[in-house]
Amino acid sequence: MNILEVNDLRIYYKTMKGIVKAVDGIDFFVEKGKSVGLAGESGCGKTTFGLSLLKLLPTNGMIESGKVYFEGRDIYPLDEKEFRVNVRWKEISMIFQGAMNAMNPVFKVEDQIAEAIKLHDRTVKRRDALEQSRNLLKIVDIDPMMGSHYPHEFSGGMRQRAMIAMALACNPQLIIADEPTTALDVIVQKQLMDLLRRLKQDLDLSLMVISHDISVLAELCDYLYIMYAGRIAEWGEIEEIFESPIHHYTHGLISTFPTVQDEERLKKFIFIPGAPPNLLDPPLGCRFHPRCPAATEICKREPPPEITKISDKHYVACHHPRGLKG
Amino acid sequence: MTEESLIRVRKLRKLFPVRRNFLSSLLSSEELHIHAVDRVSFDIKDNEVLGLVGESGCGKTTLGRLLIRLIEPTSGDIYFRDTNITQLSQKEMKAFRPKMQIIFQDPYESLNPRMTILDLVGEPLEINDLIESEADKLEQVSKILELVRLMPAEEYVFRYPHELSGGQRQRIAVARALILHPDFVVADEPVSMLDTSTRGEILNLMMELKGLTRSYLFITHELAVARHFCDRIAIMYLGRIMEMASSDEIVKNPIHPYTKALIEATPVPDPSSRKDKISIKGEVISPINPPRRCRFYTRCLYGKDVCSRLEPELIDVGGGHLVACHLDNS
Repeated sequence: MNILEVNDLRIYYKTMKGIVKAVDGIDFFVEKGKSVGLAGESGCGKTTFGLSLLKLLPTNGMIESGKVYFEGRDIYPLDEKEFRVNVRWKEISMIFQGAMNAMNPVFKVEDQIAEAIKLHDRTVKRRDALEQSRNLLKIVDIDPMMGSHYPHEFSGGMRQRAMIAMALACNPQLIIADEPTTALDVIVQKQLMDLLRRLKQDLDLSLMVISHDISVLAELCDYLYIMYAGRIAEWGEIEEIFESPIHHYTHGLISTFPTVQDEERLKKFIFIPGAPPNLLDPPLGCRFHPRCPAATEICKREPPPEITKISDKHYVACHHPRGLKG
Repeated sequence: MTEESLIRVRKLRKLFPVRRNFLSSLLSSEELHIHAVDRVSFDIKDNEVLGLVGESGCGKTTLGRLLIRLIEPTSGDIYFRDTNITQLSQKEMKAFRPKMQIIFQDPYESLNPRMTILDLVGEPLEINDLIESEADKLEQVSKILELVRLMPAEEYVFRYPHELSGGQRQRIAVARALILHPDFVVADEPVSMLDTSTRGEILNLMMELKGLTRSYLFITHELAVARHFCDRIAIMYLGRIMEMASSDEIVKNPIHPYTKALIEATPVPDPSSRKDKISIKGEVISPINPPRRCRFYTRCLYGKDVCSRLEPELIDVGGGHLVACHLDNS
């Protein structure tokens, strides 16, 4: 069963220079109890997509079209109050990018978590909310005594754990983690990934992980979506995507990651030529064509076909899929 | 070591004083210092790429800046070939500067937004009086721009940094560092701000242009990148070098428990090889007046009594593999 289903979502930003089509027709699913990764480079629209699921877009961001179903219920038509009471944090919560700045520096950590609890259930007494927030800290491996400290007294890894505790405050079913480990050192990153995996198991959570680092997603996710310039290029079961990437962008992205384990030293690093496009004025046709090794005339003229099925759990949008005729 | 060393570092130390308010300075007379780099000794060979790998706050950037004397050491010596550059006056140092250059981490911050590419890349030449005329400057700058693949150069020379992508900006930073044909270049996390798809391009470029310099110190927090880019790797933890060996050796036969943990923690882009818990505990201790013992003691799973009393020295365990750990010596 799908806990989250997104159909043909389009989100545009109105800016002084014109309209930025940050998300341009995305279909997306999260199966209950699974974790789904969303990979893409900076500026491809992945954070916008994550924020839109919680209706937290900046004021110039408009939802042009599309439907978002949570457990079969269309959640976009809900008004702000209903959304806040019934969906945001109650059902879907988020771990924001940059734990350094996501917390309020002048409140104690336990108070900030308690605030989230009280905001969604006014009947909870302050003392109970505090007790609950200390429990949450324990779940994420922070000594509950530390709750009475301020965010600046926490290390980067602890702050990120506290963010996770805050996301868990109202027992949501789906957590969106936006770059949960970026800017953390590898050892802290590894410990956080272990924590997220454990929580997903113990609390039967569904996860959506947004990251530019596909090696992090490879460790965490069951499914992987590859996003490029506001669109989904390829998605499928993570093992299959890594084993036989079909879109040239996916293939390039996976190859650019050197691994420690390689037997031989690489003579050359692999890269994708060029830079990601400006979404104010994306290339015509397939948006990846200026950087694609297999691009032909048709790629310059026509957008790629609708996302098509390769196998039961593998879909791609490309004129010339790798390893397939077309 | 039989090969000639380009840089020799001996017991290099950099302490940063910790500022305290008036009241607490009355209550305690103990002076507090951040031990950013603490009695570090190593060599960089001629024609070698040495990787300096460590987590944030371990002192790797400080060490890089010390080597080219962007900041002054507290004590210790740095020899550039046969000259002890820590003893030079600022004026004498100026003659050495063209031989040592740096590529900074963030190409969005390190390039002056008001200068054209021509002025940015030509600045090192101007400072060192190496140009005869404007035409000469244009020619030299164009030449290096073509080498860093900003072609045709005429299209770039009169543009400003904001008109370029991150990868292109970092190529400007590389051109600035290499235009003087230095002997030694410190590259401080040169690709960490770039998109993953484009960083390989910069790394390849730095490799190809190695002919314009002799040795690199490549500072990074990513062991995977260092493993492929560098000849040798030094692992740094809290101001000390813990292990140092050829990049093949350090990845295949790590000895120090910290190096092992780093390798285990490095994510692999392959969902079929997920790893379990890593062998490390706790968090990094404060670098302010660290105790005189193994700095990794509180996080090490194999710590012994001696580790809590004595600070291990970096010693050769054979074949140029250096380790600072008591466990190995027993």
